[in-house]
Amino acid sequence: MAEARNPAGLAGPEEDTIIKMVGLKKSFGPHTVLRGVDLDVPRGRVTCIIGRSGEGKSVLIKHVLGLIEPDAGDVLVDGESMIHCSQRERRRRLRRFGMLFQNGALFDSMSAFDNVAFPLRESGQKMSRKELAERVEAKLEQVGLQGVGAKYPGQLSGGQRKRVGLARAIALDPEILLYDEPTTGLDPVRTHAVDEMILNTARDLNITSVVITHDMQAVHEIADVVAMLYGGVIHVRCDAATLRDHPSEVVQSFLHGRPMADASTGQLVQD
Amino acid sequence: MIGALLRPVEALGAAILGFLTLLGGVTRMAIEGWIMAVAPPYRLGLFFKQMDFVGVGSIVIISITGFFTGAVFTLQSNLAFRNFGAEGFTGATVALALTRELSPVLTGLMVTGRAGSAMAAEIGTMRVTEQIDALEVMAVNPVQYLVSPRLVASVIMLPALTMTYNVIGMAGAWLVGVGYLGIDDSVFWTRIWLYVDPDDIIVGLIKAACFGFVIAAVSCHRGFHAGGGAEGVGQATTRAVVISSVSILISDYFITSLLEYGLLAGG
Repeated sequence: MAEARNPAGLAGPEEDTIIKMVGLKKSFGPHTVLRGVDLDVPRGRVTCIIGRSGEGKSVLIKHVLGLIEPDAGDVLVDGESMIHCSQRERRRRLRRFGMLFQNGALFDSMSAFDNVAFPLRESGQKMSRKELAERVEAKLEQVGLQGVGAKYPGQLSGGQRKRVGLARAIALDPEILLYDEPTTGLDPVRTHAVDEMILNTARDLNITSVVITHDMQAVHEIADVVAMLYGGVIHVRCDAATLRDHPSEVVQSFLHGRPMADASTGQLVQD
Repeated sequence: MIGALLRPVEALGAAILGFLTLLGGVTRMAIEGWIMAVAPPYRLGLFFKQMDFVGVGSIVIISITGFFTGAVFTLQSNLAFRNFGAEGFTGATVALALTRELSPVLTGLMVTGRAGSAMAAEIGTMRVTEQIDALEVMAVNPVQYLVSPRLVASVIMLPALTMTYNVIGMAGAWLVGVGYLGIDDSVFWTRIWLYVDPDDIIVGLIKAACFGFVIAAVSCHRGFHAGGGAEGVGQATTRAVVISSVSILISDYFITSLLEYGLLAGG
C-alpha cells in the first residue's frame, strides 16, 4: 500500500461538487488511518460514508472541518481550502457548516434552549430576546422537540439530545450538514425518526448532507451517494441501489456482515 | 549491550523532550489566551463567572486555612522566641512570613486543589465529549472562550485571595498571640508596624498573580489535551494539580530571587 491513492471517490463530470477531498493522508503515531482519500461530495444531496468501526470515518469528517490537520492532502469547499488557510479564514468558512456530533456534544452547563441559541448569539446577528426565543423554538419544533427548552442535556434521552444537537446545527441555516453516526445507540423507532429527520432537513432546506454511518438500513433510506472507506481509501463510491449488487467482495462482506480482510495485514477480522 | 547502556540516556532525552513540549504548549496557550482576552467578541459574563468561581468560591477555604496558618505559626514562633525572651517579635515574624511567603504559596496550592482541578476536569470533559470540537465548528475560538476568562480571573483573584489570607491569618495570630499566649497587644502591633513594609505585602501579591497565571495556564492546557474518556480526564486533572503545585514552588524561588535580588542567580 505504498501509494494507495484511489480514484473511486471522484464524481462524474455531470455532478456539481461542493466538497472535494484530495489525497488525504493521516497517521496517529505508528497507526495509519487515511492513506490517500479522494472523495467528491455533490451539492444539495445526501452522501453516506460507510465503513467498519475504526476505519477512520470520524477522522475523515473532522478533516473536512479542519479540526484535524492531515499529513498530506487537502479539503476544498467550493475551491476554498479548509486546511491551508489562517484560523480566522477557516472560522469564516466554517459558518457554512453545521455538524451533529455522535453524542450530540451539547454543552452540559446550558439548557437545551441556550444550546440552540448559542450559535445565534455567537454569530453576531442583532436580534431581540423575543426574536431569539422565536427562532430557537422554531428550530426545536423543526426537530419535533417543542417545549423542552428549559431542560438540561442530562435530563434528555439519547434521541432527544441528538435532536437538540441537530436543532443547534441548523440554527444558522447552514449550507452543509455533517452527521457523525446519528443513529448509533438508538432503538429502531428512534433510528427511523432520525433518518426521516435527516431526509426532511436535506430536502426542505436544500442542504448538502454528509452522513457517517454503518447502518445499512439508513443508507438505503436516505443516501443519494454512498462512499465506502476501507483500508484508508475510498474503496467504492456509487448510488445506494448500485451498492447492493456491487461486485466487490469487500462491499458484499460488509453488507452481509461477513468477516473482512484487514486491508493492511490481509488477515480476516470480524467487526 | 550498547542498547541497554543507551536506554537511560534515551529515557532522559524523552523526559527532557516531554518537559520542553509541555512548557512550550503551556506557554503558547497562555500567550494566545492573553491576546484573545483583549480581542473581540467580548464575553464579560464568562469573566465574571470565572472570577466568582475562582475567587468568591474559594473564600471559605482560604479563610479557614489562613486562620489556622496564622495561629499555628504564632504558637511555633513563640516557642522559639521564648528562648531569647523575645516573644514580642512573634507578631512581626508571623506577619512577614505570611505576607511574603505563606499567604501567596498556600493560597496558590489551595486554589490549585479547588479551582485548578475543576478547570482541568471541566475542559477535559468538554474535550472528550467533543464539546470543544462543537465550539470550533460554530466558529468560536475555544481558547478565547474557555482559557482567556480563566487566565484573567485567576490573575486577578489570586492576589485578592492572598490579601484575604493575610488579614485572616493575622487575626488568627492575634487571637493566639495576644489572647492565648499573653503577648502584650501594643507590642504585638507596634513590632508589626515597625518591621512590615508595604513592599512586603506587594511582593506577596505579585507572587500570587504569577501563581494564578501558572495555575490557569497549566490546568487549561492539561484539560485541553485530555484524551481517552473518563480515565483521560482523571489523568489530566491529577497532572494539572501536580504540575501546578510543583510549578508554584519552583517559580516561588525564582520570583523571590528576581524581586529581592534583582538577578535570577541571587547575587
